[in-house]
Amino acid sequence: MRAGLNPGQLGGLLGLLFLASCGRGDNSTEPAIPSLAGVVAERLANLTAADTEAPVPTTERMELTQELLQTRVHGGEFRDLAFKDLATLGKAAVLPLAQWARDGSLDNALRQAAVELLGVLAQEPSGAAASERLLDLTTTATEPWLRAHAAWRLGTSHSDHVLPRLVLRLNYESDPEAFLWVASSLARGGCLAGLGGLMDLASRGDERATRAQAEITWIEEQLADSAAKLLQRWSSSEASALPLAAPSEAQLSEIWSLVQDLSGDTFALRPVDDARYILSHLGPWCARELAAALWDTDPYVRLHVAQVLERMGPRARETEMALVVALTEVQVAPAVAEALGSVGSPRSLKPLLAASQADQPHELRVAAVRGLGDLGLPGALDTIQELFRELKDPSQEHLQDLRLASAKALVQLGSGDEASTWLLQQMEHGPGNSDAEQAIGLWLTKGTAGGRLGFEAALRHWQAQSDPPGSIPSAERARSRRTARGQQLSQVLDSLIAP
Amino acid sequence: MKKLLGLLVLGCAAWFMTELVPPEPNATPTTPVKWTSSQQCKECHQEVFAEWEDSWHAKSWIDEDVIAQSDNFSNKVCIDCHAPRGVFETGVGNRVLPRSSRRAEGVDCLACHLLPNGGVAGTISMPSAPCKPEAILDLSRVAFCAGCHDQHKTVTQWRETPMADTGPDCLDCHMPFRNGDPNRGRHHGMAGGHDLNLVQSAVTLEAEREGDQILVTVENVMGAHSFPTDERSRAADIFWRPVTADPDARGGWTHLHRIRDPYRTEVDIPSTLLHALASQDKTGDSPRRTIGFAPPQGAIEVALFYKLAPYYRDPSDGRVWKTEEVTDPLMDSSLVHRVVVP
Repeated sequence: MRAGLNPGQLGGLLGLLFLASCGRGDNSTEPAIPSLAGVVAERLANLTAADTEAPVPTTERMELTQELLQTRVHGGEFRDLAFKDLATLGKAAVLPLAQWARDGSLDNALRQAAVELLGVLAQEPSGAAASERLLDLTTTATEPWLRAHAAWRLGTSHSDHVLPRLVLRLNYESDPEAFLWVASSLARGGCLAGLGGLMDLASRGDERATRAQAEITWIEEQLADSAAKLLQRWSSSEASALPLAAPSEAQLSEIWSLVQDLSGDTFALRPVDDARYILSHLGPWCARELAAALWDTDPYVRLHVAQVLERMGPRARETEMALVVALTEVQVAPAVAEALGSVGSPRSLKPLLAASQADQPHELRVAAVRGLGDLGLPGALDTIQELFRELKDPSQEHLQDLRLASAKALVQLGSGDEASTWLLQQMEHGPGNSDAEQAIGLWLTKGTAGGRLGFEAALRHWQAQSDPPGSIPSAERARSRRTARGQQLSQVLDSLIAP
Repeated sequence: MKKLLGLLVLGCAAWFMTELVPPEPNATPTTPVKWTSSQQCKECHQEVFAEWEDSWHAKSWIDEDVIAQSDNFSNKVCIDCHAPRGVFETGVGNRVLPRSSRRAEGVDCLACHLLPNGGVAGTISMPSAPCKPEAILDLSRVAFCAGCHDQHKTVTQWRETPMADTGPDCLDCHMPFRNGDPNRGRHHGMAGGHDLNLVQSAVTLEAEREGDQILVTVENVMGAHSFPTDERSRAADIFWRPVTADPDARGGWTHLHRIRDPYRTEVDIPSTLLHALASQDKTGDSPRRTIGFAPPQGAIEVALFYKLAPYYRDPSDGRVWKTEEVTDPLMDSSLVHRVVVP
């Protein structure tokens, strides 16, 4: 697969890999480039998945569990005894309880008790089967209260193998109460992916806000920091330092099953995207695992894993060297370049600069320039500026997407003045007009934040043309918005960029 | 006459020398052209290029509806098919991978014609042409389109019909021969849901009075895949209103029924697609649906509207209307059929 890079291109990148590896304080030499291997298959073979099997219930067992549940709900002084009896059934009670919980013909109190007991069973060392059924209820029950209740009970489960699939509920759960308990249970399992959502619920000032706030307070006490700081740390390279529970082998097995879902064997993009969503919302422990998959034999796995690391951003900082090495793998290199920009390690500056040079494939250059823009380090400025100027030549017309990437990067690096006139033309007439529009918006925002003369008023006019909240612009409306913005900005552009 | 024959013979000999005789082993090889952009195809393939440039394949990245529905592609799952790498790179019938560059070219010439070895796939081999196309039968296979178009299950829907055995297939309807002449090659405009004529031919609408009720029947008669096909984006709505003096007057409509497959996150919305006519034999799904309602006294008109996006937006400010509150569907849809019930 590396055949796509010619020896010169490969040599240039390898040299910079060496530079990137220097200064680590561990006398590193040029990092070795791994060979492609069946990484996913090997990991899955070496990890033991959770034992989620539960015995199929007999009719007698079904009746017994229902009787005990009835006693639990209505049995007066026998309530606790019934509960104890149910618990002693262990795994044998799991499927009957799951079935009663789902049975809409039963009294809701009875169904709630079934979920409660599944929660108790999930706290046992062998509670994976009960946890699995709680996750199933959280995922597929049609009644929101049942999903919420099952999600809540997952918060006390001792089986963390369900955690990755619980993350997906953040994307699909439409009921705020159920969402609250999904987010809470994730946090209790060591994953703060739902903390932002919890904070949003807590800010709404309704009855649910009180419950959301109580969960946030619990999280703050456990992790000894404020929710806002925790959220910030979770989204940064500091996530590794958070005192979060380490994943069990069963959870790692789940993670690798999801990596397998990224492969070419999965035709539909939706499950691929679900797997990407889950993996990119997990903690730094997941990033550490994924780094190895950058060298799997399946090109889909390699590329999608790079995309996952990109979406994790600085939380995946520990994978920086693995990503730098993966820049040499031609099929995945563009996605890796963008991931490096998002992960944000200063060590990736030189490899990205090398990848942006004219001797590299166009696809990689564009991605590397995007990566350099996201990285935002001043060390990239000269190169990007030079590139933007070179591409002005009419003979470079076919490389205009590279020029657009470099213009946007200049804005990100705080030197957007030079690109602003061209971006304005692109916004009004070019093929990448929505990207150009975004870049100009960013340029005005940065200028305003920096207190530059005239920027605040220009930004105000720019924002006045924004689409109303919740609206979806038609093609006609988007064109007229850009025209209006273009007209307004061109009137003041010269004064904004005047020295 | 002899002169003419002589010229013909000379011409054939020249063609033979240039095209069929292999080059000398020590001849200077010409540097193979590296195909990096569809713009390179334009000079020789002007007709095809113009058709493609006007097609929705070419606009798959820059179309405002796509930008809106993908949140300017921050929903990155859309990139794979809206700016794909070559189909041949990952193999026919497999998923495509997303491009990082030239995204504004959308589903471009290279996405379908570039071979992993840097060559070009075509329907005939022509070593003398600058791009030296190589005849690859895969280009005409349904599986070729499936990498992208079956992500929204269109190809699966077609495979469930007897048409999978007998035809027609994707190209017959969406990439027909120019003017019906196989010698003129296939049209690269790839007409689909944006072509109102095609949509009108795919579905019928009938309405009749039965007692106090009006029974409206809508039927997928095209039979090759569901109506509409596609998940999420496409939709069709049936509206009714009392007959007005001016049939072209806007407004006054009441929503009756929606035909659409919801997006995966719209978990509370059922799929109401009209399945393919011919699929009855294989899946048992009915392509015909009747909806009854009781309007007030008097003549009414019933109409079917087709939508390229699932929501109704106010054209002036983009404000989104709830479907059941829409009274002027034409603000964000196309009229497919209208029937009057006296």
